[in-house]
Amino acid sequence: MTLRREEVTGEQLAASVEKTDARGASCGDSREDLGITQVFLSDAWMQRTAQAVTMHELGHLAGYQLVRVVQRGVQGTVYEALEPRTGRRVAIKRLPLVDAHAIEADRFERETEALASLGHPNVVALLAAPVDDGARLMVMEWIDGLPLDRWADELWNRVTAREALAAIVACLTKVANAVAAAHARGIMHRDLKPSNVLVLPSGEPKVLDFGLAKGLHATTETATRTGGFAGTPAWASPEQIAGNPRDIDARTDVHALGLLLYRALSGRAAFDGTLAILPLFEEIRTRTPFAPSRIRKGLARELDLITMHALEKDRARRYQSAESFARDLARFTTGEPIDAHPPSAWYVARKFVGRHRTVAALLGLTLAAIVTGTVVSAALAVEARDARNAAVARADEAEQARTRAERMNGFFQDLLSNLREREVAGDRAGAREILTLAAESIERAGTPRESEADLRTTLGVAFFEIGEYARSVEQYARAAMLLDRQDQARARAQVFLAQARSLMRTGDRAQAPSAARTAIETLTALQVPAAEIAEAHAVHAAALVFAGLHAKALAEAERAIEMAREARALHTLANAMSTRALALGDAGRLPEATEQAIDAALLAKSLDDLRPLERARMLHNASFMLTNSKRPLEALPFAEESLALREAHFGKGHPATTAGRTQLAKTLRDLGNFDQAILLHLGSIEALVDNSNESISLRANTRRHLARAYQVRANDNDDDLAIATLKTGLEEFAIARQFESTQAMSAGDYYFRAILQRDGGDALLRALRDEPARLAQLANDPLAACTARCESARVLALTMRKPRDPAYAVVASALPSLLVMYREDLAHAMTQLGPKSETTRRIELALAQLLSVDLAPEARAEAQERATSVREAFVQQSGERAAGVARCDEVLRWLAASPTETQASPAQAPAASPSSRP
Amino acid sequence: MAVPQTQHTLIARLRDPSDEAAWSRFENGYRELVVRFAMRQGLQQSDAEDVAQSVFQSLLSAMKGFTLDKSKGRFRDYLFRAVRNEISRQSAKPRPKAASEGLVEVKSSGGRAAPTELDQAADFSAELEAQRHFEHEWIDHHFRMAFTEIRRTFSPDSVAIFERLLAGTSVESTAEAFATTTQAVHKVKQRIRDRMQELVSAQIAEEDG
Repeated sequence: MTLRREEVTGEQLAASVEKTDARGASCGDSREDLGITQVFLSDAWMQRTAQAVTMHELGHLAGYQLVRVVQRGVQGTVYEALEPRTGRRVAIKRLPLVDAHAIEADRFERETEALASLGHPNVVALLAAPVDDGARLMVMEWIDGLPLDRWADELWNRVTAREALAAIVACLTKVANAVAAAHARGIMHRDLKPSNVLVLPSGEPKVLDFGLAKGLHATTETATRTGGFAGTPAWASPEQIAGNPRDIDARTDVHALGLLLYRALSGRAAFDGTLAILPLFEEIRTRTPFAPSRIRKGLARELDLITMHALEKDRARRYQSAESFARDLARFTTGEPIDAHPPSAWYVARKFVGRHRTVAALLGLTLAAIVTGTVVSAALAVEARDARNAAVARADEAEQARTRAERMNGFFQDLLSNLREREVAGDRAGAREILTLAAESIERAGTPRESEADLRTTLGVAFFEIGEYARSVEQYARAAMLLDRQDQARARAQVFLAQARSLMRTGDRAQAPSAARTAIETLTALQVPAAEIAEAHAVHAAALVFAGLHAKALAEAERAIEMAREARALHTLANAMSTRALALGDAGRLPEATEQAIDAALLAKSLDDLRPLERARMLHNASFMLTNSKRPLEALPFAEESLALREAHFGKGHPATTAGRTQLAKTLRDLGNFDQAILLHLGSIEALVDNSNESISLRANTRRHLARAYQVRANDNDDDLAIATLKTGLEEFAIARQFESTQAMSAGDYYFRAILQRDGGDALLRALRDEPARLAQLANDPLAACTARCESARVLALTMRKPRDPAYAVVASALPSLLVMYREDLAHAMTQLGPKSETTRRIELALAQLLSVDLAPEARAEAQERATSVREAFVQQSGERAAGVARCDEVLRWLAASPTETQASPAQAPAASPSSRP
Repeated sequence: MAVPQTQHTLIARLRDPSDEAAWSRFENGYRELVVRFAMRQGLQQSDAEDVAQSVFQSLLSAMKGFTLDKSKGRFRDYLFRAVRNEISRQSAKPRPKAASEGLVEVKSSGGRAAPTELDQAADFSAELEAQRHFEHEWIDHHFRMAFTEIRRTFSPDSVAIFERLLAGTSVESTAEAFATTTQAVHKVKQRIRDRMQELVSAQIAEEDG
């Protein structure tokens, strides 16, 4: 006997053959029993129960003989039935009408008639739609197929990736065409989701349930909760949520098609249907999902583009019809260029193909290949070949090479100046691709060294401009290597300085000072003009600040100020003053830091020819210091102006703009303008559309600030929103593999705290186990679990020090297993990262925090030992003022107090994170 | 959980036709299964009920001194064959044309010449389909039985909550309607699930004597 496909797959059965019957007796064939076990593993068991408990006396409905109940939904019930005369199997959906308006009934009649006459092979045929006893019936042809999501998931498991992809794209193309056909008759679907698209074994899709969501209201329950929203929440479009019925048009269905494609390709829904309604709506309105290729490796970029184009929040930016969506899918299938592309990258590409056809040809690439990875036209390729032949026919090879390189440099200079245009810089993904491929092509083209150094320097600047600091560093490094002659020393020094500027914005910022130092040595030895040397010192000072060495930074900044004054280099002076302010801030001398930052900003404003971005940086620093000094009112104008400059130069999606927005939001929040602050954060998140790791972690970091703002605003549901956004942020940190960063750990702390506050101790403990495990899976790295809950040890310890705390009992009884958990985390970190890594130490501190609240003397002794050794390590690494040191001291203080004094001293506020540094 | 050999499983008890309790439990539980399966095979409701009646009657006589030989298959295979035979017998009867709602074609092999390959293929896939249908109903049967037990043993509140969920109401709304937390609702669902799983396993074991 075989079980029906809907219950259990053959694979699942086969997999369970290994298991023996739990009761020990070997039943004749144990497989089918375990098939039932499989049903219990998901929510399918509920469906079966519902179905099973209906009495068999179904009898008849409007003349059809009912066989069984297929499904009960909120909207109504679906039956399997037999047609009276022919005995043909049909499906009947019975929709009880809550309030039947004459107009609605009319429209329903018209729509069902239109649908019935549609006769499209991929639309479930509607056979009749009679009224029966106060309910609407829809009689449809019976489809023996799987819902789209299950079909797609099984497909990925069953056949090769290429076959699965081809089948999925073909299927979705048909679905889109079916929807388009209905649109042509004026019928919207409005409730497209996987369960409304059944796929036959042949791969043929059948779309069901057109137009139902409107006019045939569900129970009052959905109406009151969501203000009349009809349709399934997780599959809704932003405008459906906004609720204005006139806003719903064909493009709403396009959005849904995008969600279907997303689900089929990636195996996950774009929006998490298990969230509560309001956070879910918030997500749909504001969050851009990860591109499918980030979830399922190896998917073509075009599919990302097509999917995300359909999922644009703004309807005007989507495919304007289901037909154009279908067309693009068809084009993808045949390998033609698709319509959905980041417009500015094409703009750049077309422009350059025009002006630099020869260069492109000489590079042996077409620009289209650079942008989309597909060849745009055979013509261009042919031209490339011809041009190449013509070039080869020329005389001296070295001469050719030089010419080639000059042209390439001209090309890239041109590219660079275009990158500074706002629209293009805003499309970092497109620009990044162009630049990356350009960098690779330099190798292939066999360029002479000098030209290569030039090209790489240009690329370094270009990457810096779009915020790709790590790549910028790389290019500069290679350029510097090429400038190894004596007479090139000055150029080399300048490259090192530029590299330092980029380095300080990456994770390797500890190396920035030495790059700057090398430059200073060279320039001083060469006795270049004083202003240049002063600038080098200023850069060095900034590098020291970013590397956390504030004492040295202060000294260096003061030296730079002196030199700049002497040389009358006002730009450098302003720079150095701003850097000095940051160093003072780090040293804890806040009032002086603030005054210095203000001075620097005012000086910057007075210098007309200062580059706008430099000015923006100084204004930002002033605002930062002022908010730290609790002077938000004064901080405000600085923050606003800085942000305006950055937006104008970089566009919305650049990390500098995000930092500016975050700073302004913080200021507004301190001024009590929570709504504005929240909007700013949401704006940042929305603007960080591209899926580079950097953008993702910027988004994740912004979510931390956003969550804080929600919590401070404290409207109803704000804590739900805060928790939902933090959860997403943690996922983003995991996916971007930034889970070891301070921000990620702090986000984890925040999240679990919020859970504790909203749901209590039980929920916290569950979450501490489940959530990190999930993150580890997302990151494909078990360490992500350890870092996620690392900071929460402190919260647990603090709870244990307050016997009257509501969560005390729960945490106390769980303490032994918590200790096991954190010990395992530590062991893991030791193995994977080694004992000296900062992350390992932080986890060790977490363990110490927990041990310190255990009453057993051995535990407390261990806590003492660990806290002391971690403290030493922190001091050695970052000095006495490091945040970790304070935490260690706290643990030691707890231990010093006698065990009966469990009343906690006022909890220390966590150290401010330096996340708003420019 | 060791079951002593002398403790009778349901099937074992069926050997004694005077064991009323066992028989009515058996019949009540499995009747629904037979009727629904027969209807799936295309029978009208009244015919399906007839089939059920016949099946149980013949089972009664067959079970006297009946020993289920495990190597010959499981109880449900036996039941399946019994029901199939009964259905074939039913459909072979001459039917009064006007009385029924409409003739539903029931697959039978009466009155044909030597079956062609096509016929055989059709028969084979019909057979597979019948097996599929029966399996489906059999699982439903166990769910039904288990849920009846749950209705009997769980608190009325829990049952009410669970039935709401069955109807498709969300966890949040259910919690609201019963003035409790979503965690509590989840807990109810989980407990019922666990118990159902236990019951279903036990029922299946019981079938096999």
